[in-house]
Amino acid sequence: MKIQIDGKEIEALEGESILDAALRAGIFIPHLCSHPDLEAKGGCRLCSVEIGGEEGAFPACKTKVREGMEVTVNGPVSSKVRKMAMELILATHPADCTGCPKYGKCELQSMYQYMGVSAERWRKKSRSVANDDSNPLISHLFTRCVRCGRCIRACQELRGVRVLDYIRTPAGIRAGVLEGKSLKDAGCRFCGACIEVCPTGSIMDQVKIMKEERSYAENIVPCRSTCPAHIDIPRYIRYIKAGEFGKATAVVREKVPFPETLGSICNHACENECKRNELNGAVSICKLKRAAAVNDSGMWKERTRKEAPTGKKAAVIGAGPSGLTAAYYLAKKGHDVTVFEKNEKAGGQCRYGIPSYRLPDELLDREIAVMLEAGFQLETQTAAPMPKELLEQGYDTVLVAIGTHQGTKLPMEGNDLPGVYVNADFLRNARHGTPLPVGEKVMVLGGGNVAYDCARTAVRLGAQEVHMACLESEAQMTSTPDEIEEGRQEGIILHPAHSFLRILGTDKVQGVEIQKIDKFYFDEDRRAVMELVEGSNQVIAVDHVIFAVGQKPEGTKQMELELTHGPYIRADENLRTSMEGVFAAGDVVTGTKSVIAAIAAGRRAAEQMDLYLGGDGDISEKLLEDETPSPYIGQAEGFAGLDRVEPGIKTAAERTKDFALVEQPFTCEQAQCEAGRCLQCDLRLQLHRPKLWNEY
Amino acid sequence: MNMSDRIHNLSETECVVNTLLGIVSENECTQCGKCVFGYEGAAQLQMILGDITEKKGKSTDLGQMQELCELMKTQSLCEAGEEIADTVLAALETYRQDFEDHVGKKGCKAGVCKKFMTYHILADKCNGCGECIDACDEEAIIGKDKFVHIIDQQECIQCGACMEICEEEAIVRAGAVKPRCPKRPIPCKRR
Amino acid sequence: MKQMKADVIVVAAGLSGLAASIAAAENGAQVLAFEKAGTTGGAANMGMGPLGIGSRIQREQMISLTPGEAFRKHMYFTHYRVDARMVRDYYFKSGDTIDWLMEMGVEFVGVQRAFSAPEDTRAYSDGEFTWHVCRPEGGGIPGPRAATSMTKKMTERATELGVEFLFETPVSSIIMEDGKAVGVMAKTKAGEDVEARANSVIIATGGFGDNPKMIQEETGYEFGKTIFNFAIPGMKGDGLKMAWEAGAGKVPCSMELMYQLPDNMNHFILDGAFRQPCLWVNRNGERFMPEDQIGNTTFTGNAITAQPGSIAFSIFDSRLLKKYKKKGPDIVSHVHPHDLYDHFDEQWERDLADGYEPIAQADTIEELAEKAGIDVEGLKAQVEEYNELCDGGFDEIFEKDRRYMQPIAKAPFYCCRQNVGAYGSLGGVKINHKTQVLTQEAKVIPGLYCVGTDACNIFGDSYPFILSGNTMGFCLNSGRIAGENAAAELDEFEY
Repeated sequence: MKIQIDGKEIEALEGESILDAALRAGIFIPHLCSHPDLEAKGGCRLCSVEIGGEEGAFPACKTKVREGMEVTVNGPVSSKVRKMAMELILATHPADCTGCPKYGKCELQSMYQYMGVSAERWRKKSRSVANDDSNPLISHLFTRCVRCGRCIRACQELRGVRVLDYIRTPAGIRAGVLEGKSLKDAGCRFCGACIEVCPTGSIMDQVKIMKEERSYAENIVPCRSTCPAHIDIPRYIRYIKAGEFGKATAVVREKVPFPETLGSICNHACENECKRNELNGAVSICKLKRAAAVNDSGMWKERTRKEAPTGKKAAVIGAGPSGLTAAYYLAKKGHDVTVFEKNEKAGGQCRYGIPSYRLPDELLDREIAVMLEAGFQLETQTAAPMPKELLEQGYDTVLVAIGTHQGTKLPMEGNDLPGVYVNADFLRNARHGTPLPVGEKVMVLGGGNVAYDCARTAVRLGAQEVHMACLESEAQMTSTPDEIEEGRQEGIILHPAHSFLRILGTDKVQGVEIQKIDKFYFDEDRRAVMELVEGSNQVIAVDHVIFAVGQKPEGTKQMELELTHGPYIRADENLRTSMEGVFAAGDVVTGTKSVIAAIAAGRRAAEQMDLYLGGDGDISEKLLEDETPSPYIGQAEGFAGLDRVEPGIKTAAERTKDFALVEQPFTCEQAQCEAGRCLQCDLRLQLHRPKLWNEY
Repeated sequence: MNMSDRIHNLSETECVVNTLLGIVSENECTQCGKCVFGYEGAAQLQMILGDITEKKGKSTDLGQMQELCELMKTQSLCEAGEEIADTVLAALETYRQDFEDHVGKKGCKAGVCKKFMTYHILADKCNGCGECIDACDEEAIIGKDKFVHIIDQQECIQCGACMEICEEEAIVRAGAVKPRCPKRPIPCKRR
Repeated sequence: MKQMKADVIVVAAGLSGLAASIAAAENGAQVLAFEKAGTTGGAANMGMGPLGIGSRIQREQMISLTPGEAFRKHMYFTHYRVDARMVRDYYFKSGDTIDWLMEMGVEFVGVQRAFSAPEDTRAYSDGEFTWHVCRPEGGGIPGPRAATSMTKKMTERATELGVEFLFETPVSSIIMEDGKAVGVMAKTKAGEDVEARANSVIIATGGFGDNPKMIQEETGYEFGKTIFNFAIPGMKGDGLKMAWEAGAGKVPCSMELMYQLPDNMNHFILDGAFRQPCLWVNRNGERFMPEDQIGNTTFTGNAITAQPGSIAFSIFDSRLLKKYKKKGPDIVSHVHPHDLYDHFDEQWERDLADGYEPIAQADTIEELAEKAGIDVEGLKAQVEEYNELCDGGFDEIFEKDRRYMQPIAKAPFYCCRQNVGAYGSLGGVKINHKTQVLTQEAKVIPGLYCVGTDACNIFGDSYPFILSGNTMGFCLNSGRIAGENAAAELDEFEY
């Protein structure tokens, strides 16, 4: 239908309000209490308009359009109503905006700027309320509440959580939690809708959870932005909650080809950023991924990308996570890809660096076999020619993704005695079934997850007493808390915050001398500085020492590529090396990082190499229909107190017997229960932000 | 009794401003907060009427209340706001003079609004006993033994404590018409 | 990555950025303005109006101050330690800038001064009538935020002229090529990177009031300890950092001092109520300035900074409170509600009950000193001396105006701690009078301008309170100068 606003004819939809029609047509009418996602109430009257043939002013948000309606925005009555409404709001709103965190993004401020009215003729009143920062996620600063009721409608009607309401206080009426309860006790689900719709600075995200270097959207869903591959975590968790594991896996597979592997061994930086940490522990994002993968229906295969052959050839050196990922996506883009792997099997660090009790061969074999369906050649036990030769042999592009497979030793007395190993050799041999002897007592030097892999492997190989020493204190150690705890259960004796002075022994290892560290930090030049505790030296008698203090790439010197920091390949932001057509990705560029970072790098390499080969560089896949999740999340009793679900795990005595998998995947029920703990931070991004006047 | 009845049936000892303030303060608008005109409008009326009863009314107040109530009538979300507006408008019309007396600082005819009342010591009745000086927490009474005491109107907070204590009935409360009193203590005629 | 192109890029759309955008667009440039917030105006949305000298309104109101006189006064005030040519160009343009704003539809209620000095000191401390206070739209009495009516008109004007605003899109760095500024890198709200290129870039981000680390590094103050400045969200020093990174020279930064209570927004009544020429002492209980000057918030902020612990205490007794309630304050503030004492008791009781830390009430001076953290003997001696002076009717120490010599005698006594505050930071980027950014060696960096608070190096050690409206005045005029220059440069390239 057609209506006229200020003489301008616009198209309006049956049943919509004058305000909606005007805003859609690009005509701005001030408004404060109405919000695109909430039912209009008409309380603020800033949107007052006049209607031809009728007397008085009407709130445009509550008045439905009629065919041929003639609307005047700034008629004498409507202007007067609007102006007075704004004056009345401002008369009791804090006059000083400078201390307000919403400054510059405040709708009231913008509306005030647009209308330019002054409340000076009215009586002033401050309805001040102490700021409530007791909740770690949501900050309440209700001195700034203008009683528009948007948060209340969002909480009550849109979300169905029903925590916020109008409350009466000695200082006046405002939005708040009934009965003076805390958000946790009141049943808040921390979806953040209230924050999103609050036009002023009354309800805000706690400042500390908004990182400055991140964009707004990245801050709102920190798990997704932290994941190197940006897997849509809230989306797959929602499917798990609904028991739709196939869809959940498809979501994961839109970004990574190794769901079950990652579900087993990912370092899950996402969980460190999960907002639920602030309540009672992160959502078990990683293990949920495993649950999705083991219950996968395979529906993702229906929509997978497969482009026509391009006739271009690509070579990938190294079948680790980054190399395989790159090969997988390049093959889907129609390129003819060959992966060279010098070991007998593909998997790289996943296979030779991670013990099978965490990531069994069968699992890897299975996931790699699925990847091979994309149609690329895998040449194992094949030393790849140098990149330059590959180009000469007719490959159009080459990816170097050989990882870091050479363990390093620290320069110290006794480091080349018989019985001293490095992590990479030790773990690789164990995985090959030809373990290095461990004797009775072993000392692992290092405090990362790899150190634990070595220590726990030594336990399984029959060592009676396994020690670990590292420079970091337990809180600073890079290994995950789970790993530390499981290691403790398996009898590993940890010496955190200890410096290793020397390895003792004449013709073989007899012990290690360590000393307690008082302080350990990095100075301004990023050099490690240690302050030792005098007289705290002790010698621990051991037969073998395993260095787990880092790994570096092997064989990069011969590749005729520009290197950096020693053996690492220099690659620019687009992963190009110094040689035309040759790319590098993963640990060989960045130093030893994580499997997920390697996969993300593999994707990036595939995009760049496809562009190089003349493609469009688009490897994205849409493996399932977009479904808009319901904004209604309802109430959930004791939501804030729901404890993290832990999967079944074998007892320490059982698991140290062999190299069998120690941890069970979640049962479907456990997974659905754990998925129910998700705050669904991403739902906030579905809400529409009202456009300010200067955007019309 | 409904609102407008209350305002139309005032006895001589009831002040319209004070009564209206009571009516507005009890209205459900002050306990709701769902609409700007109802809630903020009632809050403004409370503040303006409060100021008027406290002798802090401004010449623009009556016009401003009129303007506010005319919009409150049509722009509140429910009848509560409309009812307040009607009542205030009716009072303004019916008792215009009383409002103007308050705002013009002339006085409160009914003698209800304390800030319009002043206390005075009648020279012919005061015996200079000093009881009232002791009773005044504000140290607003000047005088000495056997001299007629004087109330410093700048200091007086109209609490009435002096009037209660005076056995000579020398202290009176006055509205618009003030008794003639000495400006500074003079010797008492009365012994 | 999104690619964009324009003639002139303006980094941030506060007052100086708006002025630069409009001036550039008026002179034919195609302008892209990046803004971190969702709206234009920045810190100016809190202000009331800018300085202007020689405007139409001043002439109408028979204010005879000339730009030349103001220039002399300013240079005398700053001891010629600042760029005289910049100050000259600014003041001589400022009157025209007011007229320029009025042509956009900005209205001013009149011209004000921020501070009127007591008679004795008028010759050197009286404020000049330079402060053009904006009129709220549709009339009405101006109050805080009055300048939003100006930023709105300016935004409308800019839009009319085709200036494209990108909201919630902070700029992260200046793109430099061959020593010339050629564009900026930015990021949208959704996280998309933007590379925008232009002939010149004008930085106008408003300083670092919201960056405690930078405040400490650049000025030595500790936010929340020795200074409680306005921290307008987003004022992180982005512009300074990106200018310095691009090779700009560095001028020492300062804070634009005043004084206030911690978390003053929630205690605004008290903030105003204690801003009176009652008894002001330092931590030792000693008076430190003639209290008749406390209306000059800059000087008082300076004076408080110099006291032990950079704090002061404002004290009155119940007799004085009664007087304020009855007759209003001795010094009427432009910022606080005029009837604030009507709400004093309510706020005071609530804050005492909540344990609001800067305030204290007691029935004896000893108890008051103890509660407030003032040296007990020191305060006792000071109050005794002060009361004697009041009885004598003359302040032999500081010759404070006689009207304000009112004893502190009647319990209960009220005390409120005053902290150093600031409107934000001032200066940092080295510029010339054309607002071109200079290297440390005073070489022009082609294509790069810096304006407003980021480049406001002309105040010397203190805000020139006597020529009020100066912060906004400099923002407007430096912005305008930059916009005109940036557009003029364009012609050279086109011919």
